[in-house]
Amino acid sequence: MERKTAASQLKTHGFFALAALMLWSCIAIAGPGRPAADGARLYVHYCAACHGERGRGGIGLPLSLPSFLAGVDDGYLRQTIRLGRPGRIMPAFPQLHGNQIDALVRYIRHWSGNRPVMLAAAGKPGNAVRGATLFSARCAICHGANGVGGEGTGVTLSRPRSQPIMAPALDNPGFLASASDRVIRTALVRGRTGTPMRSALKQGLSERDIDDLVAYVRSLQYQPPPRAAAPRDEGPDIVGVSPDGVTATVARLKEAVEAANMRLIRVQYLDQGFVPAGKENRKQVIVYSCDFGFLNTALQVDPRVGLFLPCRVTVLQHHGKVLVMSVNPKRLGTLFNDAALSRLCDQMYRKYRDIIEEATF
Amino acid sequence: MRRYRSLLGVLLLAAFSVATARAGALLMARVDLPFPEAMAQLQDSIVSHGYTISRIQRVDAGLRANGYTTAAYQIVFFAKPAEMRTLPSLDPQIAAYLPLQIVIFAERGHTLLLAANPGRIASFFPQHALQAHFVTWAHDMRAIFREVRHAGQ
Ligand code: HEC
Ligand code: HEC
Repeated sequence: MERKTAASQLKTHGFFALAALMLWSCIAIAGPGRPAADGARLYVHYCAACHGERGRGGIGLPLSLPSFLAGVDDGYLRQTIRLGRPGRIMPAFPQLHGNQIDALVRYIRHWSGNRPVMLAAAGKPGNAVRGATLFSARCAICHGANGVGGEGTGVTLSRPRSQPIMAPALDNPGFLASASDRVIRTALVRGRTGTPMRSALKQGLSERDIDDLVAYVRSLQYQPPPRAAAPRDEGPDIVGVSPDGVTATVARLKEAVEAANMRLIRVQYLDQGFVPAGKENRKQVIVYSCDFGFLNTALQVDPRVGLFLPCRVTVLQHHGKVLVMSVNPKRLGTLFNDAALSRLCDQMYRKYRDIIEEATF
Repeated sequence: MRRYRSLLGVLLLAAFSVATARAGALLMARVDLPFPEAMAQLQDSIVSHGYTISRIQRVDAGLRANGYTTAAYQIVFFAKPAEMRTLPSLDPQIAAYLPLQIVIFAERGHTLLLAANPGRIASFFPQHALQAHFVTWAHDMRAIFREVRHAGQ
């Protein structure tokens, strides 16, 4: 056996200790084996921004209403947290471990005093074709044609929209994988008191109608899910190269913006406000504009759209070339998990591209 | 010894990738303060991290002037002057993402803060020289969000 000096032994032990510490911190970060996860803390960290500190809703739906909590089982809550609602803002949380998800569910349940879940009785197999007709007549006004969901999500708080709470998407793979037929049936039989979702029975629909509607909602599972385009190969910017100098390009850009029916808001240097007035780099200019009607619609769909605002095109001289560029809304759109917003991003993309082509033609 | 060292390397990497996998694409925080207080706190916090605020964009005022109804909705633009000068020459395309911005809007008595996570935007710009800036911005923005949130507790 090799003899070690005290110093090298110490070094080896030190490495073991450090390795143990690293392992421990990995586990601490990753979470498994952590005893009682703190549901309240997890909720504030991961959910409160959208669902409200006390579960009253916001960008997300209300979670604390007794009518909601009595009508969904723990499996529904767990799966919804795991899978999210692809393309409908609600993120998936694959990074949360079983005990953390359980802690979140316990925390959400405490809002109703942990009252027991009472699902409606199971129904009979329904007729999805008949259900589709009923759905168009009775449900599509809020849940959208084919259950694609209301225009926008969650509770209406910051600007007028068509409903005080926007109806969730029912064709969503995350919803359909989380909700059993009985959970869907319970929403229909009882409605959700405190929301626009009313009991179908109280509106004169029969048990059979409800079975048919459940069958129809379930059938949405077998249709291709609505996809949020995720163009990963898109560049960060839309870029054009101008044949003119900076000043002439800015003049053409202003014309192009107005020709695209955008309101010109302001023209300024990129570093304006960061260097003393008069010392700005005159080869770097931003042209700000806005289409307020489009913006108002976009905010109703997703209030996070402010990250695109205001619309701006930057003109900048680099290595002797005059570049005209904007952010690429298609690329930025991939950050939002919102299919409706992605469609608006495609529109914005075309608008920017046209403006930049017009200004650099 | 070399074995332990590479083990450590693997562990460090694992810890780091777990941490980055958790980084959401957007940073969001709910502040239990009315809009004006949250806005004042946000500006203080941004400045205390060494940034200069160049402009507050009053999106709400623009919407109202055009006949739309909205709660308070504004955008704070900020950056470090030295970065505004030097970064566009490293990669001109980053200019479209500068200055940095935090969206702040009212939801009844609460205020929401929102930003694109610089840690995620970093992946749009593979240049090595830019990466350290994104890391610092991500770190600072998280701290700013935390500070404003705590001010409301
Ligand atoms: C007036 C608008 C409105 C109408 C009409 C309406 N709903 Fe709803 N529905 C909602 C809202 C809002 C919610 C979310 C309630 C909440 O916050 O818990 C909801 C929730 C649901 C849910 C639970 C989904 C989930 O993610 O929690 C189902 C299932 C459902 N509705 C089916 C239907 C069917 C089927 C019909 C037609 C018979 C219908 N709804 C009619 C507004 C409506
Ligand atoms: C970025 C915003 C956002 C975050 C963060 C978020 N959610 Fe959601 N959540 C939503 C939206 C939006 C919906 C409704 C989707 C729709 O309208 O189709 C939703 C729906 C839900 C539902 C279904 C409610 C119902 O009536 O059926 C549950 C349960 C839920 N979220 C729990 C959570 C939990 C728990 C967390 C934290 C771990 C969380 N959410 C984080 C936005 C969010």
